[in-house]
Amino acid sequence: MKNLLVSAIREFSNGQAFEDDVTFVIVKVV
Amino acid sequence: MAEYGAISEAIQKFGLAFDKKQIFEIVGNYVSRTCANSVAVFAYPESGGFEASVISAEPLGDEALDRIEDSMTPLLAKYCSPGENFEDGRYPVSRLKFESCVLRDASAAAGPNPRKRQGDIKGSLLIPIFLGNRVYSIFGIFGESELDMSRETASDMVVIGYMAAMSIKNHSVTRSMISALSEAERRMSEEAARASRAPALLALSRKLASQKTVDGVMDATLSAYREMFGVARVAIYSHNHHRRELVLEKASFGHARAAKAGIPEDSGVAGAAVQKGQPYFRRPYIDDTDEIAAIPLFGVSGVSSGAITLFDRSKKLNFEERDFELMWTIANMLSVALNLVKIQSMAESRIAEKGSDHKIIESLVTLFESRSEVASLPALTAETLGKIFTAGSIAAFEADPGGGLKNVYLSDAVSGPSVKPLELEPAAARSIFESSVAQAISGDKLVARTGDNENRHGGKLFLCLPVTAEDGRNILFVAHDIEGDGIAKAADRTLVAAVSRAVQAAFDSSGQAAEKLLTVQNGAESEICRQIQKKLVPKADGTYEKFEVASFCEPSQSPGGDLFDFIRAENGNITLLVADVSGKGVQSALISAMLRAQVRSLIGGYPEPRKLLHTLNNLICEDIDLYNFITLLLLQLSPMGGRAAFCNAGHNPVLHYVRDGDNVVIHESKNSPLGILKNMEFKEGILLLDRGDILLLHTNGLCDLKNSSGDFFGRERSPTSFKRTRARTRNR
Repeated sequence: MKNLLVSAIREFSNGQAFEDDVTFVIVKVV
Repeated sequence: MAEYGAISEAIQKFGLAFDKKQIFEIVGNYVSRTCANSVAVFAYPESGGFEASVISAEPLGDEALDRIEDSMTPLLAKYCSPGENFEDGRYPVSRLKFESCVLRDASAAAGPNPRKRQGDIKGSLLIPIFLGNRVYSIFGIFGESELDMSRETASDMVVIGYMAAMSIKNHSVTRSMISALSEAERRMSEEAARASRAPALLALSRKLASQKTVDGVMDATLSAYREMFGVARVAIYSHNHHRRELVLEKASFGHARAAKAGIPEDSGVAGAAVQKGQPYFRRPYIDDTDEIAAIPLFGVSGVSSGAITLFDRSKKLNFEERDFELMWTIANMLSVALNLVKIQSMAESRIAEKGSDHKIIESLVTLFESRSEVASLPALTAETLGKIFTAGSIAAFEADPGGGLKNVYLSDAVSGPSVKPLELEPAAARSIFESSVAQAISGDKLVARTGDNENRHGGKLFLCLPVTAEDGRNILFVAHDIEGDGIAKAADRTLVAAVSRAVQAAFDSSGQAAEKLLTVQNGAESEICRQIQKKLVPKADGTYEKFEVASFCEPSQSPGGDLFDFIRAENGNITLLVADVSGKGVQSALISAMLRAQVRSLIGGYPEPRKLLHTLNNLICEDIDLYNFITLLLLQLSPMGGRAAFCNAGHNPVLHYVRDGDNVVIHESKNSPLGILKNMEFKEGILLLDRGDILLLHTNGLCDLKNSSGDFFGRERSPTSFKRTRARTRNR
């Protein structure tokens, strides 16, 4: 799950620093 | 005719019988009169099984009972489901009950010491009684000898058995109805009392949100407990982990008992609630003791922060599980409100200090701009510091080449500004001054020292601030406060550090001094916001029945009003909240904190997200000028999985990765943000979830990202990125 979160942050940020506050929440059905 | 008369009499009596004992007497009398030396046995449904009553004026011996059981068991087994009415396929002997009825023909023989009938059962007649399409009861007649019964008599027995079964069933139904009516009446009365609690709870949440002090929050909570639960006395304890004590903070009763006396953390009902981490209830064990309920209190971080106890000497509380849930909800509201008051107090204190920062910065910028007179800069700076710190005395020293210190400025309450030497009495004060100065010079850093004994040190605090001027001179500013109030207050690290940086900036020769001062100001504000936001981030990551949750919350360099909250209800329901308060800075961060408290206080009373948002919006609209507007997404996960309800008020969409089809579905908001218009209705959505599905909730920071060409990341790219993320992690 952490991998997914980290990967999502990388994918979405594309290596940039966020200029605004950022909140990501991932919910996976298991 | 005689038999007809007996049956007619029995039927009339059945109509008048008001309990089972009378019904059995009617049956027993009829059977004993019709068949001499016989015993009637009636098996009927009772308490989820069958009960067999042996109707006889005299107790039967074990042998007779065994014979009766052996005779009845096959018939019971034939007509009744073993799982329903039997244990191990046999009717248990213990369920055979002797009904000591006063039978008209046998009463005389019974006497004070009735004869115990032994194994004198030889003949039997067993009649299954059908009511509707199933056997309701088994009616048996057992005789000491073979039963010599005519067909007509047997038919009459069927009639008697049928009437008895009808009477027992009617009696049973009537009893159930009376019981159900009585229970319904009790429930209605309780529900009416509980229904009145909902508005009281809402009133409490409003009252708590408006409180500015810890005392105000506690008083409002105590009143709410007393009104909503009708208890005589309520007390709030705080948990002192260091001293392992519970301290009585506030009570609704006499001041003498409300004194702040500590009790061991594991004693009493409050201690029991704290140790167990759940509500604890104690009924009175002797007449003059109270009935007590104790509810544990938890801080935002989940650590025990105390307990609330409710006392009642009337012993009429009879709390139920849901009462405890409500008590716990109020306890959580108290925790959040206390936390909010602390955050507000901290923020107000910081804002007040920031006001001082402004004063310092303005003074020092003026100082910097007038620095053409370089020689007077130390004196001007010292004068400014004296105003800021309201110190008893302030001095500026210049280090001479020989390692000594030369007074260049001294101002105290007695003599005013001068350059005379600083005199400190008694000797201990001089000593601590010298050691502070030495430490400040050798370490080239600010030193603040507090005297731990006023008499010995002659003062409460020294503040030694070394500064290197542009021309290489080392100047040391020393503030000394006899009373202790001014500098002690100013000794807060954040403010002192800001002053230190500001003073050094004033002495810098670079034209960037003003910019540096601005950075100091902005840095202080951002730090305040970060501290507030950090305190609000919940510990959400983990696995919860059917769901795994992972979160990432990062305040930016200039933090705004992002809010993420995770609330898990007693029934397992999980609520995720992602919100963005318009604007930036301390105000937005504070509004986030208030929003969080409001949602937490409302959530127990609003199972449907759209109704919660309706009430929340109305509360926010009352403070429209303050709030501006808020975008908010509330997602409610059922512990059973399979579905999630969400309500989106102008926030970014929920991205739903559907595993079956490898597709990302975007669920856009269908509502306006909160704080725009009062009494708005909100639309709610349902997500159907399968194993492997993933939901992504996020705030604006994502869409505000730019690519190398300067274009915004935008909402439209989100699903693609999300799908790509999923593919990448799956391939691993």
